[in-house]
Amino acid sequence: MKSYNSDIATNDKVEFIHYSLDRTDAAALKWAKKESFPWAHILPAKHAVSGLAKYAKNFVPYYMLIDKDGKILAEGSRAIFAKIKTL
Amino acid sequence: MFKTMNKTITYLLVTLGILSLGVSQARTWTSADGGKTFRGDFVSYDKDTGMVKVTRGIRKMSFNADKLSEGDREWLNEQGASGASKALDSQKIGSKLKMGVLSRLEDGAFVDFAMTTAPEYYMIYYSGSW
Repeated sequence: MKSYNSDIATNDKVEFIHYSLDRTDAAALKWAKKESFPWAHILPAKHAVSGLAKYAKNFVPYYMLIDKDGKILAEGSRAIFAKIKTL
Repeated sequence: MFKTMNKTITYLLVTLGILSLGVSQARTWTSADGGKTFRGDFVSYDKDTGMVKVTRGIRKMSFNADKLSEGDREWLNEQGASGASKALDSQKIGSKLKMGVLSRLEDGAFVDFAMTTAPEYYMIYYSGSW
């Protein structure tokens, strides 16, 4: 959350999106409320139309940084925040 | 005497308010029913989706213009469309993340969220609560 606030929240070049792997929207909401997540979410019902399902791995958490054309630029939160500083 | 002074003060405040729009995008927003106000910096307005983007400190806010007063909506129309929708359409990623796909937590519930700018990069966080 600290890195999000400092490097992404005020950075118009980057949008942070949580792709929720919860089984239901209700479960995703419960977690989001508990943690007060400030970012955008893709809820389970929207996976198919988001175009981002194909990037998912068989482990969590998984972070990736992609450009507007879908090219993966970095994976893993540490590598991503380092990359964002260079953008 | 007092009526004249009040009119003069009101005129000066309105004039200063109008002039300030050209200098800063920070302004006071009023709800559609006029019952609530808040201070925030205007970021963008997308006429296609009706979504307004405002920041309050580090917090980004996004909401539909129909939640705002008529005066605020007129002001937004004067700012012109952001062009974000067209820019997102040209993206492989952004074109699929338009209104109805993204949600955001607001007042304890998920609401539709539309990006009002077209970011060049997306950080995606795959995870669940379990």
